[in-house]
Amino acid sequence: MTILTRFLIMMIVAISLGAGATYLMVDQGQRISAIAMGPWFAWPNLGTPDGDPYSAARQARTGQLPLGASEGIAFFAETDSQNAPLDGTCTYVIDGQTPPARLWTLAAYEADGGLKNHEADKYSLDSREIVRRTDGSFEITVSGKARPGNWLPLGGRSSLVLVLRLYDTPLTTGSGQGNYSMPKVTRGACP
Amino acid sequence: MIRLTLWIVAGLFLGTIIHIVAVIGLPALSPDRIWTRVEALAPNDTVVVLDAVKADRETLPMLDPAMEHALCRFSNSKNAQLISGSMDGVYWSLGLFNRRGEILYSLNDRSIGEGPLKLAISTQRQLLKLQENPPEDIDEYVIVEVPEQEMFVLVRSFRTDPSAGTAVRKMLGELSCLPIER
Repeated sequence: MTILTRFLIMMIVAISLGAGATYLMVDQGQRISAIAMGPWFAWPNLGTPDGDPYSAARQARTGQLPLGASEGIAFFAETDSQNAPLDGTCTYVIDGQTPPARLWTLAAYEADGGLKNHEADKYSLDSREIVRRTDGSFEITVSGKARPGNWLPLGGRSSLVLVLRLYDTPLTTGSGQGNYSMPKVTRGACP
Repeated sequence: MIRLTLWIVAGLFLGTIIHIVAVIGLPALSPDRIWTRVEALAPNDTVVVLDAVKADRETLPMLDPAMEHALCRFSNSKNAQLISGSMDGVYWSLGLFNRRGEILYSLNDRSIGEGPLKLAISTQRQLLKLQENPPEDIDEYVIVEVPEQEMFVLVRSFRTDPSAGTAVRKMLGELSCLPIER
């Protein structure tokens, strides 16, 4: 084997490891620095001086402005509770409760960070407008077609990221870290 | 064979270095992406109410469509800056960001208590100067010490329903964001 072949092997190993690991860690491996609750992930240190380099790289790529600790925290779901990737052409049911917060909102995005388009011109649901069960839990249907009850319209392409933002919550203001849970995300009918 | 293994180990080592450099370098490669958009949206020392967040018409990435937003860009290189105004409603909050879009400080409506918002963003030196010759209402100020730099605030205010948008936007438009000249 010539020295050139060995050098090429070394370079192939180096570049595939370097590029592959970077892509995986920034794109997929963000979960290591996250708070996870079922399919929901949040990055409390995103965009702060305490942020880890992977969160910083992810933030630089998406360009989003994080919520400050006094503002709240955003939870992102890219899969359902069975760990299957979300599909924007399907119907989903979000069922359960959120951690305590003065206000929360739910919105649907494309994978590139753009809001899901829909002719209903309604892009979010919030904790003040939804109908709840007597125990305070709720059920929201996320779908392209209008549904009775709590409905978040979906349109556009097949990619889907659900974002549930908790505003003024003890999760970030530090006044309590209880045993909280986020609602289940269950896939319904798909075309 | 041993020599080939050595080359592969060298490859792994080099790959690790490429990975570390790439991860640390990513934010540095696009540091001004947010700032470029903020600069295009708002002149210095001016409160700009952003367009309602709708699909395909988003002024900044991933804003909450349930909120109305106001933006003010400024620098505390000469004077401290005062963000002030009367805010009302179910929920509002404010984030202070550096050029890279990293959060420096945040507050919400409950954290300032009663009375209008009076947030002073100042360097340590400006704060001393301010205390030598204090404005009458300095007791009402929330003072944040931030090293000298260019930065911006983003105020988010909840819109209870679509028809409330106009009133919330009017309230945001009446905020003031000016240097404290003393």
